[in-house]
Amino acid sequence: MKGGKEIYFSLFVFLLALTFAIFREPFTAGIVRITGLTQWSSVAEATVTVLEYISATLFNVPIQFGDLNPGTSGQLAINNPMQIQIGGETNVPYNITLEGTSNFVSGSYTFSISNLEFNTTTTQWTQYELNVEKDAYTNLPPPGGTPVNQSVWHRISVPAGQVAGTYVGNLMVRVKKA
Amino acid sequence: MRKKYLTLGILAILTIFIRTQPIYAQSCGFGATPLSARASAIPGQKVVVTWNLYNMYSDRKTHILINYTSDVGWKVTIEPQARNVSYELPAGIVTILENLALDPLPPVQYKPEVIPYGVNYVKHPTADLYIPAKTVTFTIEVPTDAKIGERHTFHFKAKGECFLGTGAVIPALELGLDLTIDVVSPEFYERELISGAPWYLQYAWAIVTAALLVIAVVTLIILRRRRIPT
Repeated sequence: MKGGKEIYFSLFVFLLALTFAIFREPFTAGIVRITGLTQWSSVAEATVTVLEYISATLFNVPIQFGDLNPGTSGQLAINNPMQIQIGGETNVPYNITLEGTSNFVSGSYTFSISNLEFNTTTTQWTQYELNVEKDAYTNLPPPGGTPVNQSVWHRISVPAGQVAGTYVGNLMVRVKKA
Repeated sequence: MRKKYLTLGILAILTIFIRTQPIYAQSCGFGATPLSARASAIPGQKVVVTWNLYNMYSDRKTHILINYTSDVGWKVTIEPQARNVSYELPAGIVTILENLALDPLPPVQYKPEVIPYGVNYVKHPTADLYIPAKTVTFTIEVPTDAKIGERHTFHFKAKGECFLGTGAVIPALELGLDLTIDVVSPEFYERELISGAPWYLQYAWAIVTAALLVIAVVTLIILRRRRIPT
């Protein structure tokens, strides 16, 4: 029985190691709790959500060109400019885009919406394209209580040889939060 | 002679007055609030969002058609539903597809005591007034098999049109509402994480186990060495 004490001691130590291995989680958590070494961050926050409002009204619509001859080029609308009035209650910065949503149609006759152009600066004309959104105004500040008008001028060209008729086209004005 | 000058003077004044009046004969538009919304929902839950639409500045009714796009195919119900409505105009009867029509209404100082279903009075953001609005309700059903942590976006669009008479180009107006839905766990839980503890505490169990094993091995080696001479 020589060395019996050492064998018992070794067995005890092995069992102790096994116990630690099995119950490691409560043991570790216990250490963490005692030492308070977890990462804590305590920030007092007060949040408030301000509701967003946007409104727009179109003036000088529909856009009128009167009677034109085929082959007419760059004829300005007689009720230019179309005014997009942004309501005074609008409290977000905004973008305005324009999109041609149909070609010009008169019965079974048509011509492309790309014959219509717009500008907002009086110098650079932009052609409409069917179902393509084009920027008119970008990142404008909120009106701050007083309505503001954004102007859009239009001009049209009628293809040479176009069949006579009253043609109508459609466009979409989108006012979006910037 | 005097009468002639008087008549001419009145005509001149009237002409100036007419010329200085704005020529904005027709107007069409509407407003919307809110413009964005966020919701957390558990799988199987319904998310209900109310959108207020109003018409404060037009000189006529604005007809609203609602549509939406989304990055996910969840079931969405829009109330009121789109339907064909016929209107009698001077030019004849016209039928239009719409969810609702907004009459031009100015803001009011007080909310009425009885507010009909589908109507809301929203606080004017810059004046001490209330804006009469009509409400659109979106109900989004989160499927029961939706995964926790998923995030999906819905873009609701309101297209406003008015009967503006004849013209070469008829414009419509569009405003939008962006909705984000996060799928969350049904139960709230808060677990303590130990990632912030130093490495020797994070791995304390391993260190202690290893130390005990080393002690055990060393004890065995010593024991063996003691046994060899005998």
